[in-house]
Amino acid sequence: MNRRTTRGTTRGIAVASALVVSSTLLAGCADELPQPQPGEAFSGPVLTEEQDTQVFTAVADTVTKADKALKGSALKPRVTGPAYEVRTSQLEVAKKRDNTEFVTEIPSESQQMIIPTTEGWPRTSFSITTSTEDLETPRLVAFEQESARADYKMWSWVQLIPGQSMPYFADSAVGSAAVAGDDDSLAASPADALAQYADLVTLGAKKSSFAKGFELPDGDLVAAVAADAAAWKEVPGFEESGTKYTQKYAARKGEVRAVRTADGGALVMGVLDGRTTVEAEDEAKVPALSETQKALLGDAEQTNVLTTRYTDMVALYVPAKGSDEKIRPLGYSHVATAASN
Amino acid sequence: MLQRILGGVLVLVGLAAAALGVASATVWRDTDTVVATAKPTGDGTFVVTDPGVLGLVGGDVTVSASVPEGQKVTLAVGRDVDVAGWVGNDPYSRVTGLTDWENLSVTAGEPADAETAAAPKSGPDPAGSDMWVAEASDENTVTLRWSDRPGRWTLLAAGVGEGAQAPTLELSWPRAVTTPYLWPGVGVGAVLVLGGALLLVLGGRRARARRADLAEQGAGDETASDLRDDGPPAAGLGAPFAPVRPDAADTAAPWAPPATTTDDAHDAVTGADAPAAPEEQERPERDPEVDGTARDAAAGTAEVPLAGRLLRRSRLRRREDVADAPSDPGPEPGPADAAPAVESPAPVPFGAVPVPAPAVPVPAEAPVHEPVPAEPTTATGALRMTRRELRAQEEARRAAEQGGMTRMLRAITGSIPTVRPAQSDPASEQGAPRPDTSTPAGRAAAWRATWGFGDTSRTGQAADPTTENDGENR
Repeated sequence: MNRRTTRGTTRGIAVASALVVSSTLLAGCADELPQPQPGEAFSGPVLTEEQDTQVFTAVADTVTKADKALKGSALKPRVTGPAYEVRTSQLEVAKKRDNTEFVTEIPSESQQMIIPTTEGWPRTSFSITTSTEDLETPRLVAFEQESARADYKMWSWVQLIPGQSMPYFADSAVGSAAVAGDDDSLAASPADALAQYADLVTLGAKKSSFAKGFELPDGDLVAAVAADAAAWKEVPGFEESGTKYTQKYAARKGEVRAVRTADGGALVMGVLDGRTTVEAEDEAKVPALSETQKALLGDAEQTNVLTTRYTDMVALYVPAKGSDEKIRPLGYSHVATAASN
Repeated sequence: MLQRILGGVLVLVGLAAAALGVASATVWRDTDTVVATAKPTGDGTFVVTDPGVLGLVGGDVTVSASVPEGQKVTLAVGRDVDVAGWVGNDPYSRVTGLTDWENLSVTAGEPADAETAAAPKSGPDPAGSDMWVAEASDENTVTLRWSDRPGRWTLLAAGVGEGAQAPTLELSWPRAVTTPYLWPGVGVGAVLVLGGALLLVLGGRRARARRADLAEQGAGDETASDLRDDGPPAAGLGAPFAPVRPDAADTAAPWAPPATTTDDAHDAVTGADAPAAPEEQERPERDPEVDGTARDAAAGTAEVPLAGRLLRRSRLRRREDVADAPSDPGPEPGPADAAPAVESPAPVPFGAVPVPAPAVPVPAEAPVHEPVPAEPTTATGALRMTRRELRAQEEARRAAEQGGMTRMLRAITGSIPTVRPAQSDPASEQGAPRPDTSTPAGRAAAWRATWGFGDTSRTGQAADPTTENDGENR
C-alpha cells in the first residue's frame, strides 16, 4: 500500500495496457499480402459450349455470306482444308450454272458438340448439326484451330448416312480427347482405316480385301461411287464402243482428324481423292454426264476422254482394338471438284 | 488506495480499448477497394498475369489497361495455356503478384523458344479469338470486369498496332472490409470500465470505513502530522479540537487565534489604524500565494473538525453579538471592546485563548466591505495567520496533494466536481458578517461567510470526513 508499490503497479498496468494497445494496432495493420493461388490446371474441354456455339455461328455466318455472294474467297476467314476446296468448287459451279442446288446446305444450328481437350495446336472440334429444312440428314462438321492465334475454321463436313447410329461421345463439358492419325489403340489406325476405306470405295465391297473389316450400310460412299460407274455404263453405246471406265480413290495423306468416342473407339474424318476416267475410242466424244461435270468442263471442247476429280470428305467410326464391332462409315460428301478432257 | 488506482487504470484502459475498437472500425478501417498497378518491363507489347493474380484480393476484379494516346489496347481473359499459346514466342511482361498493396510485381516473361523470340514490329491484336472468355478492346484505355472462377485464368493485355507498347495495367478489387476489433474492443472496454468502476466504488467504501475506524480509535491523540499525512482529518465528537493548521499544531491552544489577527478583528478593522497594520502587511503577501491560489485550486474544503465546528458556532454567535453591538450603540467604544468582553465567557477550551486584541480600535462605522486598501506600514515578526489564511494554506496543501492520479480518480468517480465553483466575490465575503441576522437565513449566511463556507459548494457525502462540513451546510 505504500507509494512505491502503487507506482510499481501503475507502471505494470501501463506497460500491460501499452502492450494490448500496440498489439491491437499491429494486428490491424499487418495484413499479409495475398499470394496468387493458381487454380487447378485445366483438364476439360478447350472451349465452353457457348464458345463452340459462337464458333459455329461465326462459321455459318461466313458461309452464308459467301453462298449469297457465290464467292469462294469470302470463305477464307472461317473455312479451310478440304471444306474450303469443296465449297469453293461448289460455289464456282453454282455461279456458272446460276443455280445453287448443288451447294451443300449446312444448317447453322448444332445438336451435339464434341469439344476437344487438346492443350496444343491444332485443335479440332466436331459438331453435329440439326437436319436441314428439306429434311436431309444432319451434317457432321469438323472445326479446326490451326494455331493459337488462328480462329476455328470449318475443316470438313459430311452428310450423315441415313439410318446410321452415331457413336456416343463424352459430354461437351468433359471434352473428348483427340486421336492421332497413327493411334494404335483402335481396330485400325485412323490413317489406315481411311486407306482401307479408299480401297473399298475403289474396288467395291466384293473385290476389296478390307471388306470384312467394314460394316457397310446402304447408301454410303462405296455405293455412291458404284452408282456413278453404273450410270456411265448405262449410257447408250458405252459397252459397244469399248469405252473404258476407271476409278481410283485414295486417302489424302495427313488429312485425317480423329476424336475419341465414349466406348474407346474413334470418330475419324478424312479426305479421299477420287479420280474417274472415261476413255472412249479415239474419234468418239465423251459428254459430261452430270451438270456439275458440265459446269466444271465449261466451254472446253469434248474429246474422247473425260477425267473427273472428286474431293470426298468421309467420316468413319473406328472401334477400339479387340472390339466386336467393325469400322462403319458414318457419312460422306462426294463432290466433283474438277473435270478435264 | 491501490485499489482505487487500479480501478481508475482499468477504467482508462477500458475506455482506451473501446476507443481503439471503434477507431478500428472507423478511421483505421481499410479502404473498400484495393488498386494495384503494373508497369510493363522490357520488350514486347503484351502483359500477361500469372494464374491466380486476377483473384488475388477478391473474386471480382476490374482490370483497366492504358496505352499512350492514339493507340489501341486489348484486354482478354483466357485459360493459361491458351494465353501462353497465343503469346507464343513473343516477349512479354509477366505479372506475378503484389509487391505491396499498390503495386504489382512484373518480370520479363520467358518466351517458350528464346531463340526465335523477337519483338514484333507491330503489336498483334488478340481481340476476337475464339478462346477468350472475356475481352475488351478500345483506344487508349479499356476496362474489363472479371469474376473469378475455378481454373487458371490469365489476363492478356496487349498494345495493338504499329509501334505499340505494352499497356499499363491497373487491377482493382472490391474488398470486404471486416471490423473484427470493433465489438471485441468495445466489449472488453466495457468490461474493464465496469470492473474498474467496481474497484473504485469498493476502494472508496473501504477507505471510508477505515477512516471511520481510525477516527473512533484515535480521536483523542490526533496530531497535526497525522492529518497532514493522511489528508482527511479524523475528528470525532470526543475530540476537543481537530487542530488542522500546521501552524497551530505547536500552540498550546490550537484554535487560538492571535490577538491581532482574528477574523473578528480583521473584519472589524478599517482604515490604516496602527494595530491593523501587521495584518494588512501580511495580506498582500499571503493573498496571492495562499488565499488566491489555494482557493482557486481547492475551493475551500478546509477541514473543520466537528468539535471545532461546534465551537465556531459559539464564536459565530459571539461575533453576531459583536456585530450588533457597535451598530446599536452607535459611535461608542466599538467592537474592539465588545469583542473581548463577549469572548471571555466563551466555553472552556477558549479559556486559554488570548483575548483578541483590545488593541484593535474599531471605528464606529466598522462594517466596511472592502478589503483594507492599506500599504504595509510596519513589518511584524511572529504574526500568526488568520483562520482564513490558515484554512487557505491547508486548502493549498491539500490541493497540491490531490494532484495527478488522485485528482483524476476523483474526477472519474465523481466524488468531487471536476470543475470547482469559482471563488465567491471577496466583497460578499467581506460583507458577510454584516447581513441581517434577524432571520435564520441571514444568520446562516453570516455563519457561512464567516467560516468560509460561502464558497464551498462541494457535494461530498456527509460521511466523508473531508467533506463533513458540507453535510451540515446543506
